[in-house]
Amino acid sequence: MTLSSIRIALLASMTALVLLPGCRQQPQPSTPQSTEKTQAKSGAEASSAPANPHADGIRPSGPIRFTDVTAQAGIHFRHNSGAFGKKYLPETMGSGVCVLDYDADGWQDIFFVNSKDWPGHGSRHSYPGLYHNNHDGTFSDVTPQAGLATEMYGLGCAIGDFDNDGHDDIYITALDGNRLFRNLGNGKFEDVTAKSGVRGAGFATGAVWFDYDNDGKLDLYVSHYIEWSVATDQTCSLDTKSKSYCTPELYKGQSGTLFHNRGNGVFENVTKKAGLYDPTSKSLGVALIDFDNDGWIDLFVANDTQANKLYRNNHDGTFTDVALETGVAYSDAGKKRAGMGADAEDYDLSGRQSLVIGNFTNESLSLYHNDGSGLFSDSSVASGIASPSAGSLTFGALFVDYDLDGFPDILAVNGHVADDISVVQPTIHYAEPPLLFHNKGNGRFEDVTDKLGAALGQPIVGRGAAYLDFDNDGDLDLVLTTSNGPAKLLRNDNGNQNDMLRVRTIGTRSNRDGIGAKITVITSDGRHLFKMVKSGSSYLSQSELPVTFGLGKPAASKVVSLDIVWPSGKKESARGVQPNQFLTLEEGKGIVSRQAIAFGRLKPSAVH
Amino acid sequence: MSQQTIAQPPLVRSTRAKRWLSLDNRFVPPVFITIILLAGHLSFGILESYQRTLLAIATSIVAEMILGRIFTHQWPNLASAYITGISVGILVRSPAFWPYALCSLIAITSKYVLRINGRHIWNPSNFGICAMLFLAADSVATLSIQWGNNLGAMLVIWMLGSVIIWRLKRFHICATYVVSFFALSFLRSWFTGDPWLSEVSPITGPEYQLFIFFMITDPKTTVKSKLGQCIVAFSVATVEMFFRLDQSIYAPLYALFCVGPIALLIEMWNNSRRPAKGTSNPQSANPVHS
Repeated sequence: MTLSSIRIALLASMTALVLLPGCRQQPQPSTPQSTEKTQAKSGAEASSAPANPHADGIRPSGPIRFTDVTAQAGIHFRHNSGAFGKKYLPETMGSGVCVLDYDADGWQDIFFVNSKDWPGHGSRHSYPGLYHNNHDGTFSDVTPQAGLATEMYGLGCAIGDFDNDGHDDIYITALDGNRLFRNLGNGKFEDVTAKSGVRGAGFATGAVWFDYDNDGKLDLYVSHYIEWSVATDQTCSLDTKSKSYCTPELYKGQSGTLFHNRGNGVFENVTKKAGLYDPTSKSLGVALIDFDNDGWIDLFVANDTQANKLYRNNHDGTFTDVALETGVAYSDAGKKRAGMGADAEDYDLSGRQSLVIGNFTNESLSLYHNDGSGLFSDSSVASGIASPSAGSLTFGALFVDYDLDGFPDILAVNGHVADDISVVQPTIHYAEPPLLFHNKGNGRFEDVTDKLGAALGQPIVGRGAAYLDFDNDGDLDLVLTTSNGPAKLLRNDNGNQNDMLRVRTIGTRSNRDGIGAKITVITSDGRHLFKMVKSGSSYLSQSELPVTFGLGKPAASKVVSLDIVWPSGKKESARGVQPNQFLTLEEGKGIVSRQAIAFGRLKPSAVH
Repeated sequence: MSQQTIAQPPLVRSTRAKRWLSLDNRFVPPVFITIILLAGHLSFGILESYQRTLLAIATSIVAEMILGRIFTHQWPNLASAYITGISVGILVRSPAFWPYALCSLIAITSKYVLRINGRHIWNPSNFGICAMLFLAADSVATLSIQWGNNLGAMLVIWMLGSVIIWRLKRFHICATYVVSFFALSFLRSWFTGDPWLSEVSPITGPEYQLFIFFMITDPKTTVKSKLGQCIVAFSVATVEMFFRLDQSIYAPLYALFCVGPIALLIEMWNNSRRPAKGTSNPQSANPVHS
C-alpha cells in the first residue's frame, strides 16, 4: 500500500467520520412514539396519585417529582392564538399566567391570559381564566362570576394592589388595548381601564407593578414589542413554498410605557419624562431588580433581536440605560440575542441579584452574574447551563428553589415559534421539553429535568411560567402555559422534605403588597438568603407574591433571623424565627401572623 | 584558543541551560497554551470539562504518533499535536464526547492528507473545528465567551503571549490582525448601528487569544514573506468582518479557513514561476503549531 493510497483512504474515512455522527440522531425532544409512552406513564401516575399525597401529615420522604395535576385540579384552560393559516406574528407569542390571592383567603389562585380568534376568522369565544383555589388541591373557574369574561387578544399580565385597598388587581396586556381590572374585594373585578388611563396602544407584552419613586403607590411599566398590524404583516417562508412566521427583524420596534400612579385611581404616562422612551426596543420580559442595591428599583427589559436594557433608577423619577456598560446588553460575542423571559434573583447567596434570560435556539440561556462592582458577567457557560439549553428556544425563565435547599434553581420553559421548523431543521422541534437546572451551590447548575418525573420533561410549546404553592405544603409548584394549547399545573411532590419559611409582606407607608421589599433570612450556619418581593418576571407572567426561603435539611432546634428593608426605607428584624411557617410581615408591626405549614392538610371536597 | 578550550565545558552547559529556558524553546508554546487553558478554566471555567479536553489531547497525540510513523517512518515531535488537541479541547463546545475525539482526529489527519507540494495548507485545528461546524452543526459550537470582569487573566496572557510571539519573530502578524480588527470594528459599528464596544468586545475573549497567538501565526500554514504575512493577517480580519456582518459567530475561524489556503496557494504559484533556489525553509526552525 503506497502512501498516496493511504492518504486517499484516510481522506475518505475522515469524511465518513464526520458525516456519520452528523447524520445520527442527537438527543432531542422525544419522538412521537416515545412521547406517547411518557404521556401514558404520566397519565397512569396522575390517576393513581391521591389528591393529597401527604394526607397522613407525616413529613414526606422520597425523590422529588413534579406531577401533572392539571386535570385533577380542574384546570381546563386552553390558549387560543386564533391561528387560521395566515400565520400572523402574534400567534407565536402565546400568553402569560399570573398567580394571585384575589380573595385574600391565604390560598393562591391562578389567572390565565387568553388571546382570541382574528376578526372574521372563527367564532369561538375565548376568555381569560381566573381559577379559584378550593383549598383542597382543586380549582374552580370563576371567570364569569369575577367579571373577567372579556374577549381580547391578551398576551401578558401583572398583579398588584395599585389602590392599596388590600385586594390585588389585575393588569392585562393585549394587542387590542390593555386592561386594568380593579379587585372590588367581593370576588368581583371592575374594568377601570378607561378611568385609570393605562389602556395604552400598540403591541404590549410584559408588565410589572413597582414603586419607582418610592411614594407608596405602585406604578406600572409595560414593555412593547414591534409595530405590527394585520395590514403590515410580512410574508416569510422557511421552505420557500409556504408562509411561515416571520421574525421581529422585519418590523420596527416600539417603546415601552411607564405609567405613574397619581394615587386617585388615575395614572399618567411619564415615559418620555422618565427617559424610558425607546422606539428601537422589541421588548418581551421585564424583571424588577435593584442591581446596585441602592434601595431604588431598577428595570431589566429583555429585548428580542435587540440589545437588552437595564434601566438604572436615578432616584429623581428618571432612568438611565446602563445595559451596555454593565455587560447585560449583548452576548459575550458582542451579539444581540433574542431575549424572551427574564428574572432576577440572588442565586449564589452573594446578597446581589443576578439575571437569567431565555433566548432563541442556539443562543443558550443567559445567566448574568452580578459581580457587585456595578458589572455583570455572563456565567452561562461557567455555570453549566449554556450547553444543555443551547438547543432550546426559551420563553419562560425564572428562578425557583424547587428543593428548598436555599439555592434558587432555574426553570426554562421552551417551545419554538415556527410550527413547521422541523421541515427545514429536522433536529429542532416545535414542542420542546422544559429544562430545570438544580443549583449546586458552587456557582454551577445541573440539568435535572429527567430526574424529576416524566411530567416535567414532556415536550410542550411552552411560553408563560410561574411558581406558586397552591397546596400550601411549603414547596413550590409550577404553572405553565403553552401556545395555542392547554395550561399545565405541575405539583411539587416531596420538595418540602427540606425546611422552609414563607413570607408575605403588607406595606403601610410602602405599597400595600410590599413589592420591592428586600428580605434577608440569616440561618444558624451563617447563610444569608436574600429575596425581593416582586411582580412581573418570567415571560408575560408573574409568580406568587409571597416569597419562599428554602432552609435546607430539617434540624430540631433550627431558628433563623429575618431582616426586611421596606421600599420606604424602614428596616425591621425578627429573631428566633422557627422554620416551616407562613409569616405575614406588616410594615411597622413586624410579624402579625404565623401559620404553621401543614404538610398533609389537603383533603378533596365532594362539592365546590 | 586555549582560553576558548578551557571555557568550553561551562559554555556548553550554559548554552544548554539557556536553550531550555529560552523562549525559542519548542516547549514554550505548549506551556503557554497550557497556561491559557488553566488561567481560563480556573478563573472563569471556560472548559466544557477536563475530561473532554483530555480526550481531545489524547486523540490528537495518538493520531499524530500513528500517522507520523506511517508517513515519515519516525516518531514525530508531539508538541504540535498537543497544541492541536488543547486548542480543540478549549474551542469546541459540545455536551457529547465524540466531537472532541473526532475533531482532533480530523485536525491531525488533515495535516497528513490535505497536502500540496508537500505542505499542508490548513492550520490543523482550524480545519478540524471548521469541518465539525460545517458538517455536525447540531452537535458542536465553539467557545465564544469572555473572561468575565476580571482583567487579570487576560492581561497576563496578552503580555506573556506578546513576548513569546515577539521572540518567535511573528508579533507583526498578531499586531496587524489586532489593529485591523479594531479598525474594521469601527466600520462594522457604522454598518450595523451597534455600539463600537459591542463590535470590538469579542477580541478580548479567550477564543481570540488562541486564534491570534496560535492559529494565524502557525509557521507551517502562513506565507513566508513578512509583508505577505501582514497582508494575509489583514485579509483574514477583512473576510472576518463580512462573516460578522452576516451574523456568523464563527467568523474568525471561517475567515482563516478561507484565506489561509488561498494565500499559500498564491505563494506556491509565485514560487513555481521563479527559478529554483535553495531548499532551506526559514520557518522549519519552529515546528510547533496548532
